[in-house]
Amino acid sequence: MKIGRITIEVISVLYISLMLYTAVSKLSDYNLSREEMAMMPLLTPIAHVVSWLLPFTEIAIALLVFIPITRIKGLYVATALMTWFTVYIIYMMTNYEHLPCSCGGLLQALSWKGHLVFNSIFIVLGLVAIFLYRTILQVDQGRTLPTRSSEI
Amino acid sequence: MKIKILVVIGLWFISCKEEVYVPVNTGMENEPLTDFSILRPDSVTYFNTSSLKPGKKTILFCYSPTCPYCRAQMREMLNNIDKYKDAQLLAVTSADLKSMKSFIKYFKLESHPNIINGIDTGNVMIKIYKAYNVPFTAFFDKDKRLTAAFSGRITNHTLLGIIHP
Repeated sequence: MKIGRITIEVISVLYISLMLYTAVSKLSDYNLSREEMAMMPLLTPIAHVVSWLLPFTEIAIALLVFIPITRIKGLYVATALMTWFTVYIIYMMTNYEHLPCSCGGLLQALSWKGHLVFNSIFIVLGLVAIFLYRTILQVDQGRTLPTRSSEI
Repeated sequence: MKIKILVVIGLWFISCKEEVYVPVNTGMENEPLTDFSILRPDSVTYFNTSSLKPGKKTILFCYSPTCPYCRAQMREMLNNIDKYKDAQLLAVTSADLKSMKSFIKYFKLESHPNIINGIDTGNVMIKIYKAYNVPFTAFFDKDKRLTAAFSGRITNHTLLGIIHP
């Protein structure tokens, strides 16, 4: 169980770091993020909204994962968001030839296939953390599903 | 918990960006703005640089409509357009007419009387001003003499520092 708890901690730190890093990168250069998003397929008409909404959503998710009592909810939302990103990438890769990238910071250096692999790894990590969390919770509570999230 | 906080704070600093631009030595410093024409968005008429209003500073902004850095610089200039009211902005591209018109429409450039849009059909920006990369920004004083030229995105703070030294 100790390894499981450490694994959850490590995955949580990775998710918090990723969410905060990309959010701060976007917010630190709002105009650039907005214009990059404006060139993304499907996002053009709502780029001015998404360019604010996305980084603040990422910060909110980072906070959810950071706070122990909301961690499981945060991991669910974070994994769902990464899954949504991945579906969007697959859609764009199959429908468009030339694609701009609106990721923040160093992630801009990744190719689209690189993004796909990167996101998939994070989805798997998220699922592993959720599975471990639930398993440990069941063990701690006498193998009964919790009615509400609590700190591990 | 302490390690987690340190990792997070560290990432905040790493994700900060620097302003990236380099001065360009065009060989045209202190020389008057070259006489050249740009194709207007109506695709029929041309605007000649000799028609620029005398006694006003001029910013020559060379962009690509699909370059995010060009778009971000244009956005920053538009957000502070009141501070540029005493200057003329010549927004020039080598892109096709459709792309330029899309750019003009997106940024509503035609609503700004001090912004002149056009296509550099003679590639003067490359031949004369060495604008090999975009965004490229050149500054001309009230006598239309080149004072400075930069390759790469310039933030509003830098731009205003040059326009209003």
